[in-house]
Amino acid sequence: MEYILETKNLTKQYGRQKAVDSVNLHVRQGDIYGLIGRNGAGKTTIMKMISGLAAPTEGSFSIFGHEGRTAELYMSRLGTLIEAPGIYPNMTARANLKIKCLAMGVRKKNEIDELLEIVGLADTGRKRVKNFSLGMKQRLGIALALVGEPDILILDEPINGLDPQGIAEVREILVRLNREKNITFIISSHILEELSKIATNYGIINDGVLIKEMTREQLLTECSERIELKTNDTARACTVLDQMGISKYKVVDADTIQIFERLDDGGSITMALAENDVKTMGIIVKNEALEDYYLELTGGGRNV
Amino acid sequence: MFNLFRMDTFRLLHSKVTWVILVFVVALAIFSVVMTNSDIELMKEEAAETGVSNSVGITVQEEGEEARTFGIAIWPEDEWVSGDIEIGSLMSAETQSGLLLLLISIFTAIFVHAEQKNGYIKNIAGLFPKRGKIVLSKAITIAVYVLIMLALFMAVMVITGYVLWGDGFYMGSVPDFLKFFGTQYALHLGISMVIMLLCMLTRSSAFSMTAGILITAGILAPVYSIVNKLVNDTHPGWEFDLNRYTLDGCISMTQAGADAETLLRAVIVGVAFITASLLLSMVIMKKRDIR
Repeated sequence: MEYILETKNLTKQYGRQKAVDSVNLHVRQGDIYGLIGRNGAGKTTIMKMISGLAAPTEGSFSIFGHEGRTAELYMSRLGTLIEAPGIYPNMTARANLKIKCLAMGVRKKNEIDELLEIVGLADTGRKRVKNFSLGMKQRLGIALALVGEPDILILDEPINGLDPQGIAEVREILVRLNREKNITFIISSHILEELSKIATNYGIINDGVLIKEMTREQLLTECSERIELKTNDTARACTVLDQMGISKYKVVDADTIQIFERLDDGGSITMALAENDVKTMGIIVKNEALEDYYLELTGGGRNV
Repeated sequence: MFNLFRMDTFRLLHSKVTWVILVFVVALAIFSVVMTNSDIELMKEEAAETGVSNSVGITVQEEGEEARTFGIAIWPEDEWVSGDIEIGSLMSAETQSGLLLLLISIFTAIFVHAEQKNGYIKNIAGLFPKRGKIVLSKAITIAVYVLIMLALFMAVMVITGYVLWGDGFYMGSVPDFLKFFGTQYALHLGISMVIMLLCMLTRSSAFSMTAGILITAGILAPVYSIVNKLVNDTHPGWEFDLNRYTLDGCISMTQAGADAETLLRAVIVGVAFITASLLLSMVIMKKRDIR
């Protein structure tokens, strides 16, 4: 079994609109798969279909190598947190977990205590969930997803609305679970920088279409390094670069040029510019921000 | 399936609405018997007058053997003035009033809708590809609770009755009473299942609760009358009465000591509505995407 979860031309259509269009995801065991896309891209819809909350219009998905009716037997191996956590506000965290334990037939002693410990809610006692902070509710949602020791966890924007400390806490929980229990994660987010800190694989979604799938290493390569050159005369600087045989460059603004080749040749470039009376105001080697890469890939940069 | 039932039972026991409604059942039972006693006292004083009620809302009384009562009202029987009140006849009057039905409607709407409203359904729906089970377990839980409500309502009325009327309050035929209890249970459960269906269909507890309250108050009665007139005008020999085939109609018209045919028809109506509502609810749950 190569993939723990795989989708095949997964499609969801509402009326005439395709919210998800022939998506083919590939998730291996132990991956932290980041599903990236802007609001309304189709991330939640994909997750709902995989979780069994929505029926695909076309296509299918396989879990542990099983499709269709056979795959239904493995749905209990999935834990999900889709959109806001589904919790009873007038009950305690313990009671909320107890309900799901009963539904799944989980009889392991101390299961609830362990889950509360994992997500840092062990001290909530008789406090009702309606009095929890947003971060606590999100963590309870993760705990609910963990009931029954799932092998795959599907988390839809788990850090939405959290403050930086809350984000860090959730991130720490997810990384620990992946490391200690080898749980596979599929996490959606539109906060790219945050996702880049933990994801091992990425799927980029735009307008319901999976644009690209890549590993973390591939992404780092594609968010390519470049020389960022600031001059007082970009037009003459471009002429100098052409004379040097440098063709892969881009004029960003009135005083900035990005050069994508000969990254070790900063000294030569500076000297050539000086010989042609072009002042070098600044020169540095940089990586492309994930956000910029994403915007370029999805064509969103034209609106920025 | 059993796990789902355990889950719903746990939720039932840990929900505020469960206990609040039971308190209201007790209060309502005491209130209705006390008010019935007031009516009896009034009837004794105004011996020549009949038909005074301690009703709430619109009340219109129809003549006829199988007369349907309208509105939310308790109609004391004339012979109660003598001081001899048969338990079955009191139970008839009280259950026919629709007071208990109001509470059943409210409870069902709140209990069924809570899972959807709070989003908890997202945690469990994916675990059960045959989602109909989720509805079935809820229906069984509601059935148990409605039975408790009905039994508690009647038990408190009996106790209150004994306190107020002493030996004048007596049990008639036990088999007849049990048949009546079973029939009313099927009918009340039928209303509850219809409320559950409305809740699932509209995703709104407000709509389903309001519908239940209005049905209890007899809002469909004019509709039934129109249908009756149309059918009887077309087929005069039929003596068709839609009230005999609807839940609210049967609840109003089925009394303790009714003949076997009436009771059987009422039970069939109850079971039919329970089955249809349950099956439709299961289909909705299975086919619809979870929001």
